[in-house]
Amino acid sequence: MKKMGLDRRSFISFLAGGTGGILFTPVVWKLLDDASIWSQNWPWIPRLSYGALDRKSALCKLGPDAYGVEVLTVGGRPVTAYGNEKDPASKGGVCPLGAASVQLLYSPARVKSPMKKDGASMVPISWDEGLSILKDKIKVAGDKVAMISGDETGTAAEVLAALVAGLGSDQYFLMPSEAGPAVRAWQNVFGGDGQPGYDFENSDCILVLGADICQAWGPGVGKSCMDAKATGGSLLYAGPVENGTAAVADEWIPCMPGTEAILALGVANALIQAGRSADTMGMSEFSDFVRKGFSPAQVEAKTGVQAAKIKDLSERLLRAKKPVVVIGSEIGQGLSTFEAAAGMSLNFLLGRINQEGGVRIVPWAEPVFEGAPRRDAMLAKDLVAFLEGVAVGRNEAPAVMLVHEANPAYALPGGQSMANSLRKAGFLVSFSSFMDETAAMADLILPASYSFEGFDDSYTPYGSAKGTYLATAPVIGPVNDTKTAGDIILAVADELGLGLGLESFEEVLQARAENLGADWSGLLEDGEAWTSERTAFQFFLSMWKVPFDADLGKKGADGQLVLAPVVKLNIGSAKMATPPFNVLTISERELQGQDCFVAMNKATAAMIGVDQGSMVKIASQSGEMKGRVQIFEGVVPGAVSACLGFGHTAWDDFSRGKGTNACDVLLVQGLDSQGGASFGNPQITVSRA
Amino acid sequence: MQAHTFHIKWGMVIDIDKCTGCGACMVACQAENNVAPVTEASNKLRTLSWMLVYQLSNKQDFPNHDVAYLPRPCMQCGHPSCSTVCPVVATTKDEEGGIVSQVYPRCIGCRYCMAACPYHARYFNWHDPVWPEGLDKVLTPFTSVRPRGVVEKCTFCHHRWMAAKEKARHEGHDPSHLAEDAYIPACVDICPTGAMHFGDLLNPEHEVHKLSKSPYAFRLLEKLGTDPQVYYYSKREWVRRQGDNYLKHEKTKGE
Amino acid sequence: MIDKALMPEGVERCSLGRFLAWLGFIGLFLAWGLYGAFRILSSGLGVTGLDNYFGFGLWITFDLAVIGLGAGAFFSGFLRYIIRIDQLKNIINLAVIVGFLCYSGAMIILTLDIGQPIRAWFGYWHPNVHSMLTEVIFCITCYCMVLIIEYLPIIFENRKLNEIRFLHHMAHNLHVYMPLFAGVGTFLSFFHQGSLGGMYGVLFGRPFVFREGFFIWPWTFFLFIASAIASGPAFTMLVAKFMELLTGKKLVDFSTKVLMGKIAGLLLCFYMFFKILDTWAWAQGILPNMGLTFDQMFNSELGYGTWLLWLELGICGVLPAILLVVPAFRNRPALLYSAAILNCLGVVVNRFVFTVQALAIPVMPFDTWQYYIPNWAEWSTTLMIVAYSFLILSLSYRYLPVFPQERKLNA
Repeated sequence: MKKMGLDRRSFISFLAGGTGGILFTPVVWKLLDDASIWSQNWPWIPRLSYGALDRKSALCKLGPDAYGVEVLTVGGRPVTAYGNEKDPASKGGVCPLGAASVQLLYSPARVKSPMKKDGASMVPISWDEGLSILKDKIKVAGDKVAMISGDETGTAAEVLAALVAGLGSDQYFLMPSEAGPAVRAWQNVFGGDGQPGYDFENSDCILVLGADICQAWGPGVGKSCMDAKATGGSLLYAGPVENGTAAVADEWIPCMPGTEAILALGVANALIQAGRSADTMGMSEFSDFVRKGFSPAQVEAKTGVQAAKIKDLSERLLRAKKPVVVIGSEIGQGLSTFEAAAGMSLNFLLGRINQEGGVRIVPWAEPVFEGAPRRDAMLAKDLVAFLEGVAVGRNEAPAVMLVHEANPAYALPGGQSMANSLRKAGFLVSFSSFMDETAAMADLILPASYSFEGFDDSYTPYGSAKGTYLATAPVIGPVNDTKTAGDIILAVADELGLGLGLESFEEVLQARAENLGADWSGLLEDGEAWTSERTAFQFFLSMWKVPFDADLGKKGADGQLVLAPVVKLNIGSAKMATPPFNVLTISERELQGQDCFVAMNKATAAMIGVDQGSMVKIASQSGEMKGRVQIFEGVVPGAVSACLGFGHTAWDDFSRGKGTNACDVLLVQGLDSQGGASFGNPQITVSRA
Repeated sequence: MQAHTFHIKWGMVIDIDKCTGCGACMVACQAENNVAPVTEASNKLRTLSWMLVYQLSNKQDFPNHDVAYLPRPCMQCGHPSCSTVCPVVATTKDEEGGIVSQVYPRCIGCRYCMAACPYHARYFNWHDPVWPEGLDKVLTPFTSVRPRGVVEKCTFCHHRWMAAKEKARHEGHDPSHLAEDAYIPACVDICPTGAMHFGDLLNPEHEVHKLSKSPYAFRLLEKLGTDPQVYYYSKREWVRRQGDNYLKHEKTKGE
Repeated sequence: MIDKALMPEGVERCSLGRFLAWLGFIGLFLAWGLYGAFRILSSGLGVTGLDNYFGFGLWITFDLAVIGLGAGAFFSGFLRYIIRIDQLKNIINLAVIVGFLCYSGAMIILTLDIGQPIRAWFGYWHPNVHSMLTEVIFCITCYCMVLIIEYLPIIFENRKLNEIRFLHHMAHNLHVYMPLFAGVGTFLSFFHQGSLGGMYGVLFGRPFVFREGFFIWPWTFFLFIASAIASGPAFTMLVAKFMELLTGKKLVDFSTKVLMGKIAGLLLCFYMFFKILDTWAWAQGILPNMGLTFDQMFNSELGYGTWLLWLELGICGVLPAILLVVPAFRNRPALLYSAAILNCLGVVVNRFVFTVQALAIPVMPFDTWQYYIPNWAEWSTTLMIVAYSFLILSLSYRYLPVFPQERKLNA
């Protein structure tokens, strides 16, 4: 047969030759090589940029606390935040908001330039225009100017207060916090002076009532408590929800929401029964008061804490060499003056005032500006009480309301009614760095630079056992068209001819440092905090300078469902919505899509007739929220726990529209005789939604 | 595969009794290692969290309920289930120190390693990362940004080790004998309650060496034989019991 | 018919119009799948229903199942060319085509399934010799090439193509070498079927699938081989029956089908014996050693109940084994086909639980059960492979001399 095509030999040659031929060309190899290069260099994947590494000290004031951080810079570009070991307030730790603080410089929620309200929208304007609008408004308003600041430790709030005071107004408010009631209690009820702090680190028995100190009071507090535990001390937590502090405490003592002060007085009673007494005026009145109203049986009925446990607590405190008691609110705000006093009374009975490992009273910093209110004068004024007064017509609405580092339209109890009170102000000005709910409803936004973009400082955050002062220089210039809050206010004062005497905010801080005796350049250059062991001199302490409110602890009520709100800093704080990098940290037990969760135990759920995942509406007299039921046995029966920090309507996609705002349900439960508004644990109704 | 012997074994001891579950470690990790922020993270099976905080419950009803938080980085197993299965040698445990590597440009995204890891410490990039405008300015120079389609995981902030060794060399110290805390990962660094400890498990001068030998120390799923380099610590027996699977009659480790 | 000249001599085929309509129907699925594939390749695997727990899902289940069922090709080839069971020549072409479809289909799915398809070749360039997956990658690509080589002569035997002398000779040469390819194929297949099982058996972090074994191979290595050769012949035979139903023609005589059923039945008995032994040893030994119990491996609420195990071992294991191995049963067509279907279903269930249930089980005590539901992107691409198989089978049936008995049986 004539051979056409292939024989066996040529068949093999064909296969081998073909394969070999292709492999000998560079085509295959080049393509493969390129493929591996392409697949790691897509143009839409950001490339890293390099540069010299440096660390600059800065301040984190995103939570209720204030502490130093170090910002890592790469070729001058801030990239992330680390702890500052030299700051005694933080001991090198960083809270979940601080951990995300650098990224906030470029948050989509930043206000990029001054803006004014134009109909329903906000339009960008120039600084000159913005300042002149504000000047005109203030001129017309005269002394009807009020301010709200959320910067409890910074001098910027003082500059603002100096301006307001200079205009003849005394409406300088700070956002509600733990410091307000604690200071009012200390000064008004006990007749003391200075700011109470707690020497957790050196204590051997820490009794925490209510406050989530290990999670929400700033990184240093958690560390101090852990240090105390490490050296054999015990940490006891009483509160309605098994929160972060309960998780690390040696024991969780569940009590009904809002009854921690009653528990405190129950323990006080037990201490007195055991022979404890404070060698001060008013002791016998105090003793009569607790004996009459806070017997073990009475306290057990209200708090749900068994009489034996109350006795046990008192015995543990008595046994300890250096016990300390701290009371606060689960959400860091809303305690009444007398609730704060009830907690502090235990430290009196235990003889722990100005003792190592006890309560230490830190002196106030004198104001930089003459005529400006000292911090305690600002803390003495209660914003919630004032705005409630505006709502009911008891107080006149200010003609101009200046809001600094605060988001009162979102974070106050009964959110909606408080926002309405704000709306009643003739002209609302926000100095916010972010488009928060308050800025969104403002008539004028003069955006302050972010803390890292300007000078900033902090003097002794509440709770700190010693006086501390931190001041920081800008880590980076403003990335948007913003100015440091202090400088904006100084400029406004200048325009109004109210010269405060100093040219720039930097000079103001220098003056503060000088007043304190701190080394200005040392503060700035190595991020070293100024500290002082000095305690405030107490002229005349008394157990009973102002009689304790007989209505103490009316927040909880028998047989009713009560709200037990909690705060988790990773979700946000009163001033900060969830930062971009924190979305990941919100657990599936807290948020699912657009729905937030409310937690209750099985017994409570059975009582209401709801199950895991049921959508419920929670309503109080002041407002309502929605959430899905999360069965969690770490909530006392009869209480429903809700996390603050959800339900934002402004800000950006990282926080907007997620869950509902539990602040709306918080209800102002009355004003105490010292001007404090108490809120936090309203009675609620829960229904399927 | 023959396990390597190391002279340095970087390890973590996490004191669960000190963890409030705040999540700062998760944020610090994300920022340090350039994990892109996400606007929606409800589906935890789709997010990237090299460090993840689990909530533990003693499963008792009120009032006997107890809660604990367990931060979970990569365990850097001594006998990794993941690296041996990788078909393309994109993840290995062959470097001194015992950190399980992950080479992103090598990974083909087959996810076999994820199927192998019982700790869920490995994460897949289901989408390309998206950095909202401007936020890419805060990218650190430490960890390259991963494209979609590759697996990533905690590296104990390996770059920090490189930097610590460099610093030691510069200062005339022995880079293979770093002092306590000369090298610690971002999560340990930032922890606000000091719950996390880090160091060389083999170095008696390091705190973790001592802590890891405590009767209260345990590792996750030890019975599987993964030999993790991450230890946990708790004085609570129920917490330790949740570290591994136990048959009813079996005694808890450390009891 | 305009394409009459392309068809094998002496066979009847439907009209071209009807055939095109059929292809159009198949095309709908192909188009949907191509759209899914486009979405997956352009925006990443985020469009699928896979997640960090279920990195393996429908696709891997499908791949493992079709590779298992495709074992009919290598095993029939082995029996036909090496053991020389001559009767298998009646079905060997179909076995090859089905094998080719199963393997090429699996490979298409795999390129979609990996996150970086353009790095797919890293498996050869940077192989990790310790990984069972490396073995799988090498073996299935090599074996896929073998299947192509085995399929080529069937294509070249097309009436028109065969007129080209070059192709005619090439087909002849390939035929001469077929026993060699069958041998190579058998070797490769044995290994990768085993490696696929080994892939799971070595996962000591997954108590559901982890097995001890022999040398470097966990028992699953051998069990996967056994289950594949037990179901492959049954599947090939079912495809033949299915094509007969679709075309209305007799393609393979019943005795060949029975022979395939018998082969499958004997192997299934062998497989079930060891599988049951293995399951017992796993429940009694491996699990307690890991601190786990049998009950913890199942979760009825999420669909991963013990019923899956009983279905796999009983209804789809022991039952078809009996039906196929007893002549009185397998000689009755209804029982033969039912048993074959159950046999194949058993392998699919096995591959499913190894892939999905293994990942659904929480291993850390504080972890939770998760469930997985494939989404449209996975279904569309999987159905695309099914449609692709229908397409190739339809074309092969119409234009290639696949069934040597067809003319005789339909005379």
